[in-house]
Amino acid sequence: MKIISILREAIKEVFSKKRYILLALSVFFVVLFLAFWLPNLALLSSFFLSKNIGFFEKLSFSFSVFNLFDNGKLELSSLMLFLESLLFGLNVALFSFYYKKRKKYVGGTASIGGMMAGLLGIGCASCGSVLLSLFGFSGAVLFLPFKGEEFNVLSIVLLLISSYVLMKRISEKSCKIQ
Amino acid sequence: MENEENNTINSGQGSPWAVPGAILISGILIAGAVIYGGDSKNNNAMENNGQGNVAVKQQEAITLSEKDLKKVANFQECLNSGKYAARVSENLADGTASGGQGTPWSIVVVEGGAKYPINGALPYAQVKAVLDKALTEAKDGSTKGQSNGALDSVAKVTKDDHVLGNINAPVKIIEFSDPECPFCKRFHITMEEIISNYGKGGQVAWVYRHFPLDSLHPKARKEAEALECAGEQGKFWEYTSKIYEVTPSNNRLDPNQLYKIAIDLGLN
Repeated sequence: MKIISILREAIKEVFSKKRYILLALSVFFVVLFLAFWLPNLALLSSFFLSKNIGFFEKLSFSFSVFNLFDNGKLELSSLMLFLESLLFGLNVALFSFYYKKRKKYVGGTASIGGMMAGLLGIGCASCGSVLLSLFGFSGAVLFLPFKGEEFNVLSIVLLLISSYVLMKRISEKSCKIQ
Repeated sequence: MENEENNTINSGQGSPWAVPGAILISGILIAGAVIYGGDSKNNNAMENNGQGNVAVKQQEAITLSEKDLKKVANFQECLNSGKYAARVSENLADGTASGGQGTPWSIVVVEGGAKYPINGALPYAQVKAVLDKALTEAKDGSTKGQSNGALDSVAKVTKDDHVLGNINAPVKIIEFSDPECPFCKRFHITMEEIISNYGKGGQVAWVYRHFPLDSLHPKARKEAEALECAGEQGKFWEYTSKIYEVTPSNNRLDPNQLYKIAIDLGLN
């Protein structure tokens, strides 16, 4: 299938260089940690500042906030944040590669849009999005049908679109007759 | 306890500076990753299939004096006369008939045998693989008389073509190229390396034909004619290499650059 060959071509070209793998992973981890740690910052900081809790217990607790599973059931909102972080890292690496190739691109709007939507979605649905809370609108997400999860879905969709567009541009090897 | 409310998971509350600070830090990290991630070299550099960077200098406007133009009067007259316009059009028709839908479009021809299409600016390793296969077939004659569909319509190589290498080489690469195409610019370097490695023994020859994409690069046709005018004075390949070296591609070459290259190469 053409789409698969486009994806394979682009992934091969971009990630044949270790620096782009490193870039994607670095951004992925930064966003992942921020997405899961940010809503729990107060609790995490009190835990880390406590002198009564050992180092390994603190470490274990910091990873326990990645609550992908709750009583054996997959947490959808956590999964979406995980996916968002992954796609975010992928997009940054693709965008950086393409930017370096100095071509015109049309994926920028979707890419930047996806990243911004993702920022809106970061933060738990029940406490409101991180960015909106800056403007005092955090409670407004409670009126949305899925209480803010819409931002996560929108972000994932936009990031997928922009990833595909960027990969398509990267895999191009010729100027086509119009 | 006074801190209980603040310590429940997912409370979303905390220091007022934590959230904007975290967003700022992640934004800076991401912006830094985009700008400085990947190649740390010159932002104007363009990747060349991973074989190194080809610096594209920022183009300054080129002004030429009457005296400069007089040095290349014959070249100028050739270019202005349009005498090679028909040849460029013939090459374009040839490339289209053989299946070319973009540039660079190349056909690896095993004399009397198979023909292999190379669509786009493939990296050196992939072109090498095709060439090695073609050379083996040229030697053992395993594809002699093979039918190759539309590829068979490509015009045979004659002494009127621009050939770098042995015109009687058993394997020829016929490249259809557009001087304003950024992929052609990249592929030109690949082809130079191919000929450097395979051309010495006379087994592989490089044939250059024009394929200006008028709808994308209106300047390309005139540049193709300029190559022909340089060829008239025996400097086709030098001129071609120079134009691909200096062009910023995407229809941005300063037309005066055509005369500047001619002056630099000592044309008259």
